[in-house]
Amino acid sequence: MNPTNIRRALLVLAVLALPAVGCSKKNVKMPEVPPAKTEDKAPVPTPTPAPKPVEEAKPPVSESRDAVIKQLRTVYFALDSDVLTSEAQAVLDADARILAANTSLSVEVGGHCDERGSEEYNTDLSARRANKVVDYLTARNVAASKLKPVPYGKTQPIAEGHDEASWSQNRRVEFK
Amino acid sequence: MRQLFRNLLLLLCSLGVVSIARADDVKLDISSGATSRLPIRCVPLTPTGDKDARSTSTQADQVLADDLAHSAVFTVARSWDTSTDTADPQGIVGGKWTVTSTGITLAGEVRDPHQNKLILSVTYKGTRANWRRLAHQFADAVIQQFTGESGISSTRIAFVVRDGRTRELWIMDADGYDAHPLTHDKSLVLSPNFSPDGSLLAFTSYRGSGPQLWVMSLADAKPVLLSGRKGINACGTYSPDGRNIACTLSMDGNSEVYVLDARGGSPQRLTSSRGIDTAPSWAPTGRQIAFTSDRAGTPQVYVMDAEGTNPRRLTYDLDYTDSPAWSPKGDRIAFVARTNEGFDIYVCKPDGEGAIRVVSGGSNENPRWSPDARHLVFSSDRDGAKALWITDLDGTPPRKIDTGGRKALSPAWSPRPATIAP
Amino acid sequence: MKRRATHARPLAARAGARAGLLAGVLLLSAAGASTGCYAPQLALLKSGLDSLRTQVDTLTVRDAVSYRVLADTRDDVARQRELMLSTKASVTSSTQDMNDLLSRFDAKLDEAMHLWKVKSERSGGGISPPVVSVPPATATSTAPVTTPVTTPVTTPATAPVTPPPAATGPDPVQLYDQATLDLTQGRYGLALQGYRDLLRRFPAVDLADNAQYGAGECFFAQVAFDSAAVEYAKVPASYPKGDRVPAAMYKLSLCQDRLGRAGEARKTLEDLVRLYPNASESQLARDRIGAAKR
Repeated sequence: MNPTNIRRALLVLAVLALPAVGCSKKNVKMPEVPPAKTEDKAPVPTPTPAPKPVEEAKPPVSESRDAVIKQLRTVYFALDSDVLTSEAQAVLDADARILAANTSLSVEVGGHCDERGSEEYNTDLSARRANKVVDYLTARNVAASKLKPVPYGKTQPIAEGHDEASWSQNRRVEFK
Repeated sequence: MRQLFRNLLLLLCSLGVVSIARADDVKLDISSGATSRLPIRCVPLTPTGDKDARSTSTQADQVLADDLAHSAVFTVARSWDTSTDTADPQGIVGGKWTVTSTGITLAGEVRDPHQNKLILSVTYKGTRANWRRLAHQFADAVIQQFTGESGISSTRIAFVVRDGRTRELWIMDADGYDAHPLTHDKSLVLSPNFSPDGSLLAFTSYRGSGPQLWVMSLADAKPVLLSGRKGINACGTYSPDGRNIACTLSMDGNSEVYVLDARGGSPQRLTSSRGIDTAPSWAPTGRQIAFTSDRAGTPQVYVMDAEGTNPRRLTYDLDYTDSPAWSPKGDRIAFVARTNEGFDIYVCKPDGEGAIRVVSGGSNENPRWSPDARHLVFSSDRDGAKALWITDLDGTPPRKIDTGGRKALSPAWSPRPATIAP
Repeated sequence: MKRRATHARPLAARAGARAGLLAGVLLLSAAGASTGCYAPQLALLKSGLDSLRTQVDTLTVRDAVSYRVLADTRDDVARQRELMLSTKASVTSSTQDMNDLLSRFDAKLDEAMHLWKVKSERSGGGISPPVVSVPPATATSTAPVTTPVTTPVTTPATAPVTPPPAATGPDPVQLYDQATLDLTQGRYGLALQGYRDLLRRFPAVDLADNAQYGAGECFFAQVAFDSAAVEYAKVPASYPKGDRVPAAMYKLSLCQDRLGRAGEARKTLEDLVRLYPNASESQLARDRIGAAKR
C-alpha cells in the first residue's frame, strides 16, 4: 500500500468526520484535535474553528446599544398605582433576560405618569414606579449599578390626548 | 381724608374682601365680592415735553387703568371709553406725564370728586425704557391710599414654559409684559419659588443628573446647585425668614419633606410616612408647613408644625387634595381638589374649616397667592392649551395672562417690591 | 458565560473518543504501508475501514443524541432558573405592595380615629368630661414643671367644686379656634391669652391638651425656649392621655436642647420613643437620637 494512498484515505476520513461532528455542535468552542502520537508527520487537516466560537460567545457586543435598548419593552401601570401587574412582570422577565445577556449595558429607567395630578405629586409617583421596576430587575439579578431610575413625572407624555386611551399609554416605565 | 380711608377699609372688611370671619359656619361669599369693589374713574394723563410724550402717555393710561382694575379693589371707569362708566366714583385718577431727553416724570394725582379735594399726589421718575414701572408704582400708591396696603402691580411671576419635551424657566411682569426665559438648558424645570426678598429663584431642574434643586440670582441668572442628593430633590421653598428651604428629598428611599439651611446643607427630615410626602408650603409665620401626602392612599393636604410635629389632615370633606399654598396673610390655604369634573381650586381656613371652591372647569393646577393675598395665579387648560390665569377670588371670572401662546405652567408670584430686571 | 461551563465536560469526552479513533486509523494504515499493495490486504483494510466508519457513524449519532439530551437539560435548568428568578422578583414586588397597603391601612385607621375624635370634640367636647373648676395656677403662673413624665401633677385633681355656669361666653371650641387662628397668623400674645383663657375656664375639656400645647407654641415661636419648655412639659403631666403628648414631648426636648440641657433633651426623646413608639414624633425622635450618636 502506498503511503500517499493512505494519506489520501486519511484525508477523506478526516474530511468526512469533521463536518459530521462540527455540525452537531453550534456556537460551541471546538476542542483542539490532539495530533496523532505515532505518525507525527501526518498533516492533520483540522480546520480549527477556534476563533469563530469566541466571537459567537458574546454576540450582544456586536449589537449596538440602541438595538438592545429597543428590545426592552415598556411597562404600564394602573391609575395612581406603582403596582407591577402580572403582565408588567412578564414584560420585565423578558427585559431582565436581555439585560442579563448585556451585563455591560447601563440603562436609564424612566418613570412616567399621565397628565392628571400636580407636577410635584407625579414626580414622586413616577419615582415610585421607576424604583419598583429597578427593584424587580435587581431581584432578578440585574446589577443595580447598571440601572438608573429617573422620575419624569408627567413631563414626557407619549400620547397627548386627554382621555384614558392616552393616559394609559403615558403611565409607564420605559428604558433609555 | 383719613376719615374716608378708614370708612373704606371698614367697608371692605365688612364685605368680606378682607376676611376676619370667626365662626365656623361663616363662609366667604365670593359671589358678592364683585359688588364690593370701589368705583373709581381714570382720566388721561396730560402729556408734556417731548414729541414722544403723547404716545407713551396714552399707553401709560392703559397700564394704569389695567393695574387698578386688576387689583380687585376697584371698578374702573375709563373716561376715554364710555362703555366703562360707573356711577358715583370715589376718586378721580390722573396727572401729568412729562417726557424729556433725560427721562420720564409721572406726577400722579387722585382727587375726591365730592369735595374736589386732592387726596393723593405723588411723583415718580424713571428712564424712557422703564416707563411702565412708573405707571405700576402710581397704581400701587393709589391702591395703598384706599386700602392701607400697597398693590401688586410691580410684582413679577416666574413660570415654566413647556416646549415639546423640554421645559425652561421664564419670568414676566404680573401683567404678562416682558416675558423672557431665564434658562436655556433644553432640559426640564419644575416648581420655581422666590426667596422672601425676591432676589433669588429656587427651582427643580434636570440640567444636571435627574431632578436636582437649583437656585439662581435674578441679577445674573446663573444656576447654582442647592441639593443634588440621591433620588429626588424638588419643591424647594424658602421659609419666610429666608434662612431655611423646605423641600422634597428621596435619599432615604421614598419622598419625604425636609428642611435644609439656605445653602442646601444640614437636612432635617420632617416626615416619615411610607407614602409620598411632598409639595411643602410655609405659613407666613414660618411656624407651620402645609404639604401633600398620600399616606392614606390618595393625595391629601396635611399641616404640621415646622419641626415636623403634630401632622394633621387639612380637610376630610374632599377625597383628593394637593398643591397647598398658604396665603401670605396666614388666614387661608389654597389647594387643588380632584372632583368628578376635573381639578378645581379651593380655599379654606388653616384648620380646614370653611372650604369653598374658587376655580372650576378643566384642569386647574398649582395655585399661588399674590403677595397681597387678593389673587391666585394658577395654570389651567380651561380654554384649551395650558396657560396661566389669575382669579381675584371674588366671583369674577378668572383672566388669562397673555404669554404669547406659549404653554405656561407652574407659576410663582414674586414678593413686593419686585427686584430690578436682569 | 455559564453556558460555556456546562459544555466543558461532554466536549472533553468527545475529544477523547475522536483521538482514539484517529490513532486506530493511523495504526491500520501504518500496517498496510509496510507490506505493499496486495489485494487481500487491501480487502482487509477496506473492511477495517468500513467497520471503523460504522463506528464513527455510531459515535456521531450517539454524540448528537447525548448533545440533544444535554441541551434539553440545559434548557430545563434555564427555565427553572428563570421561573425562580421571576418568582423571587415577583414576591419581592408584591411584598412591597403588601407593606404599602398595610401602612396605608394603618394610616386610614389613624385618620378614621382622628376624624371620630375631632367630631366628638366638636360636637360635645364641652359637656361629656367632668367639668372641673380649678383654683387655676393663675394665668401668669409659670411654675416650672421640669420633670413632666415622672412627677404626677396634682392640680387638676383638686376636688371639683362648682361647675362654671354654662352658656356664658364663648364655648371652648370657639375659644380654641380663635386662639389657633391667632397663633397661625403670628399674634402670639393674643393666642396665648386665648389658650390660657380656655384652660382656665374649661380645664378638663378634650381640647385642653391641644390648648396647653398651643401655649407652648406661642413661646416657642417667640424663641422663649424656657417658657415654652414649661408649657410643653405641662401637656404630658396634666393630660397624659392627650393626643398632643408626643408632639409636646418632642418640642420639649428641642427646647431643652436649645437651652443647652442636652442630657435632659436626650432623656425626653428616649421617653417619647419608649412610651409612644408608633407616634410620628417618635420617628423624628429616633432621627435625632441617631444624629446625635453620629
